Amino acid sequence: MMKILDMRTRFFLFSTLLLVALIPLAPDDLKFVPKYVAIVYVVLTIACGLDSYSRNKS
Amino acid sequence: MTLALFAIYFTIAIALAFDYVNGFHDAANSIATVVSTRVLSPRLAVIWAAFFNFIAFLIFGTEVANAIAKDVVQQNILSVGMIFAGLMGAIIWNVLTFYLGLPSSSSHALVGGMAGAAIAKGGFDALISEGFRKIAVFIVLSPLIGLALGFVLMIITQWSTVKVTNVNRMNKVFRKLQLCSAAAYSLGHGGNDAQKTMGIIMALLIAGNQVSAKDDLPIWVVLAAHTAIALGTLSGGWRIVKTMGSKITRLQPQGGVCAETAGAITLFATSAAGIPVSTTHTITGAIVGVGSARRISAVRWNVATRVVWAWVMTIPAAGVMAAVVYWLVSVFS
Repeated sequence: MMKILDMRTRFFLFSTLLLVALIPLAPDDLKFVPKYVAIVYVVLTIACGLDSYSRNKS
Repeated sequence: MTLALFAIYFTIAIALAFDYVNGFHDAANSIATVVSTRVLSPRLAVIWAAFFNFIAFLIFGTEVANAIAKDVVQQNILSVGMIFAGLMGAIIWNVLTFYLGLPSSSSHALVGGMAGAAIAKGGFDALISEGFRKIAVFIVLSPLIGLALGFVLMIITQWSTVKVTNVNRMNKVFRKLQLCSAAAYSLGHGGNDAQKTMGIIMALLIAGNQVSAKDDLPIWVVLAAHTAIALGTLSGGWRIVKTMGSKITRLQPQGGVCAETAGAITLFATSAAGIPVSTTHTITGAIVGVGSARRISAVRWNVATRVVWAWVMTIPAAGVMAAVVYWLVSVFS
């Protein structure tokens, strides 16, 4: 699995997990910030994963 | 002048010196990309950044200053000696990282120093958990926001210029745009970082019974903090320019614009929300984001890892140094 994911995808995946872990720690009025940033990172992880997959395939 | 009043003014002078060092230390962040892409000469770049550092007070409020003065340490713990120790802890750590060429955060050194001195004085109960939690969460969030914005902006600009055949002409346009993005970033830097010093001075004035916690920030404090940071920026910090501008990833004008714009957007939003964040962490995140959008190998991950370690160390290291200084102050006073 880790061989399929390049450094960039792994980094975004790790950051996504970190952001999810931050959601309960954030003050109530600012919980939306890690939530939305985590969603952006999920998108970036998927995009980078697909990019890496297509490069490997070609 | 009484001894107590002298102690307050002396510590205010140290706070302004810290602000000066902050400008000196962080000048690299504002101008690294402009200098490394040769848009401006180093001398012109520092003048440009210092000007926008100074005029930031016209744009931003004082929410960050209030957060530092009132949301980190319990008001009954605040004393001139404690704030002095916090400042000294931050300054010692800043000087150390400056000589090592590490882009650690002056802001987190300050928060770490204040927290360390407060814990040395009153134990862990001396900290306001909600305020400290907000700062701690944004220590991690601000570089990640900068990184995502840098990455997305870089992808957008790459897609929008994919059909451009005259690369020189495109670079010329981005060089001009970089002047605007560097100015925006310097505004954000001045707005967020100068306010931290204002917060410290306000805490000092409250501790010395010169103003009440309900009072607004005196205008002389605002002007003094912005003048100090602008003068520090004018002096420049060249060791870190090297790390920021070329060691993490080599930037072209297009990347410089994206990194600075991403950093500026993050700083504007956090300053408006009254959250003290590290300007250094934010721009480093943005630079890594821009680099990783170009290609995976564009980021020197070992340098980035070294930078992250300096970040992780900052709060505890500055805290320990401040606690030692507080102990020394207590012994000698």
